[in-house]
Amino acid sequence: MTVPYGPQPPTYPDPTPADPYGATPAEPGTRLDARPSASEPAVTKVVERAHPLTPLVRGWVAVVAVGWALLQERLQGRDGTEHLPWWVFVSLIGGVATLGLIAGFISWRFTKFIADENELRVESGWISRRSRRISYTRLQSVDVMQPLAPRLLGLAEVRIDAGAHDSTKLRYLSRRRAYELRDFLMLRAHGAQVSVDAARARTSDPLFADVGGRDRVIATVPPHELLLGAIVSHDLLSLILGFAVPITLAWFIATYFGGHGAAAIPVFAVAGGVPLVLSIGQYFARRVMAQFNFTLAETQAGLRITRGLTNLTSQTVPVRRIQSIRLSQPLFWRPLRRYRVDLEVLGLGEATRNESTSKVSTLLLPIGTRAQVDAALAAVWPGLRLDAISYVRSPRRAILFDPLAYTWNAFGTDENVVVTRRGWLTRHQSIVPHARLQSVAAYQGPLERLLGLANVSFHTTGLLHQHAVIHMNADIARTLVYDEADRAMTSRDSELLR
Amino acid sequence: MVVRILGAVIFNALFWVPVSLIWAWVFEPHSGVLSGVAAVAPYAFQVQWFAAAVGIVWFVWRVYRAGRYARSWSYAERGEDLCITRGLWYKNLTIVPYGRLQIAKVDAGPLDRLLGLATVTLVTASAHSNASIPGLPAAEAERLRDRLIEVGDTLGSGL
Repeated sequence: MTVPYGPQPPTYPDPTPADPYGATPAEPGTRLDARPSASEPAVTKVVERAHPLTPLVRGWVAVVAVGWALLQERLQGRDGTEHLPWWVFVSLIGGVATLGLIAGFISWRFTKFIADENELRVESGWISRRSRRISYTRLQSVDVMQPLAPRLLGLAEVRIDAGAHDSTKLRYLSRRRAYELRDFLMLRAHGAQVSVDAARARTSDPLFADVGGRDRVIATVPPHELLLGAIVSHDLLSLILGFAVPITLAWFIATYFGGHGAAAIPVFAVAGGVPLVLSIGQYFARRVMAQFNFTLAETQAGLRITRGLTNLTSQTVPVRRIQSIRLSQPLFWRPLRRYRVDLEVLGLGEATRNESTSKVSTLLLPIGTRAQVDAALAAVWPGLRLDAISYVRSPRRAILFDPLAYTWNAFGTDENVVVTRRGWLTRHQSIVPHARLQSVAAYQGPLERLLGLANVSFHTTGLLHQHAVIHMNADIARTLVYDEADRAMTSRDSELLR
Repeated sequence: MVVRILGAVIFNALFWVPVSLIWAWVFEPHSGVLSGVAAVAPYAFQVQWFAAAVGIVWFVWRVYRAGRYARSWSYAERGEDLCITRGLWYKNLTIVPYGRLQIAKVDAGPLDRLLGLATVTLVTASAHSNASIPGLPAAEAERLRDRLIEVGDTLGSGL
């Protein structure tokens, strides 16, 4: 236990190449509680438990909730509770806390994380036992989440996505162990037969970052950039409008139809102003806290995204697993030349596009200049040159459907990717590698047929909107569909051969 | 049919296989019954004759459209892809590479079974690619499914 995940005895390269499709079968017929017998060859196997403080962290929310509810009961004095002396409440809270601690202890006692040659096993449950196995070849991404309470105790949660809908959560490990386990898993996901201590050159364990010695930082987003992005955003505008419009209406009605208008103005100002100021403050605080110190770094195991002030989130995405990337530019960001970049990975089942949360998100860059965007793209697909792609745009008659965006609607291809552009309030630019395409479709409504226009959408395994190019010349769209299917085939084949 | 096969061979065009026309009776019955009721109901309630006329015209139109809609569906095997077209007003052409096939399944509802039809659905890893071919004769559906799985196995690629 003192030596985490290594140093391992030297492992020799497997004579059979690793299965590229991740179809390595789990060892058959193993019972849940089977132990390796002495006759089996010695397998490097690490059994790990959650940190002993885990029950405390998991229980404290319940304790606080119960305590708060009881306190409220006491203060409001409902239903004769005022007769009861104070020690009843204290013992109730204490009882709940003890029960929670016992339950937490049992669940801690029966939870084991076992990392062996080919897979990670998570065994849990006291009454109904449960064993999850994750083959290393199937790992999509591994994240380390540190919500505030565990973080204060130096704990972290490891979250593993393997393409299924829900991710496997290992909670909680000490921060250092979590990082080490994450690095180990990611390296194994890349097929490297390494012991983590040898591969890793972490010298410090910084509180606000997760950057090892050999990692290369690609982009960081300072707080003032975050603030800038938050100020000139549609969210803020809609927030203000959402308050301002009803308040103005009410004020207008009160002034002109209510009779005593002058007296009503300060009332409305306060009624509208205070919640507005509060929610704007909350909006800024959440957004900046969630994205605080956003760092995109290139590590041995893939791209690492670290962010957060109170809750530190650290996502690691293998570059090969990235299915598509989307650049977006809201209307007001255009003069500032700032972009937001989202990525799609298979299995980020719980990922969100929301910028104001510490949950696992699709963000690759919350706000960045063109140079930062290019650097991030170069880290994902080194050969990609967005400027070199020539775009085919919508014909002029598309102005009837898209008066504001028909000059922006376009697609372009090179030998590796297809790029589509659409949108007017927010300009989107999707980049989909041919090799990651699942299917292509062209569609056309009756009005579009009258004008000889058609749309093409590119389907990936993603969570973002469909990647589509709309209102193209119908003939071009038809050729695009068939050509794209051909390109997808050839790039798939060449990728398999590589 | 002969012309189309010849065209496919000579001009390297796609050979589009239409779905069965009988399929019109599967997706149309509720709407057909409804419009039938709409045609008959005015007599029962002694409403103006033109209400009945509207109902009858609607019924005829639906039946006519049902046939045309069923005929608008067809599929073609093109190299290593399967192409599916559908729709009268909203036309759609979907191309699914065999290599992306995760599941190929055959479904048949009670009406389908009565008429000897089945639906072949291709499932890829994308939630958006909505590729299914309804109204195939049951034997052809099974043949297509087996063929898809066979080709998908040889061409299959990881994600």
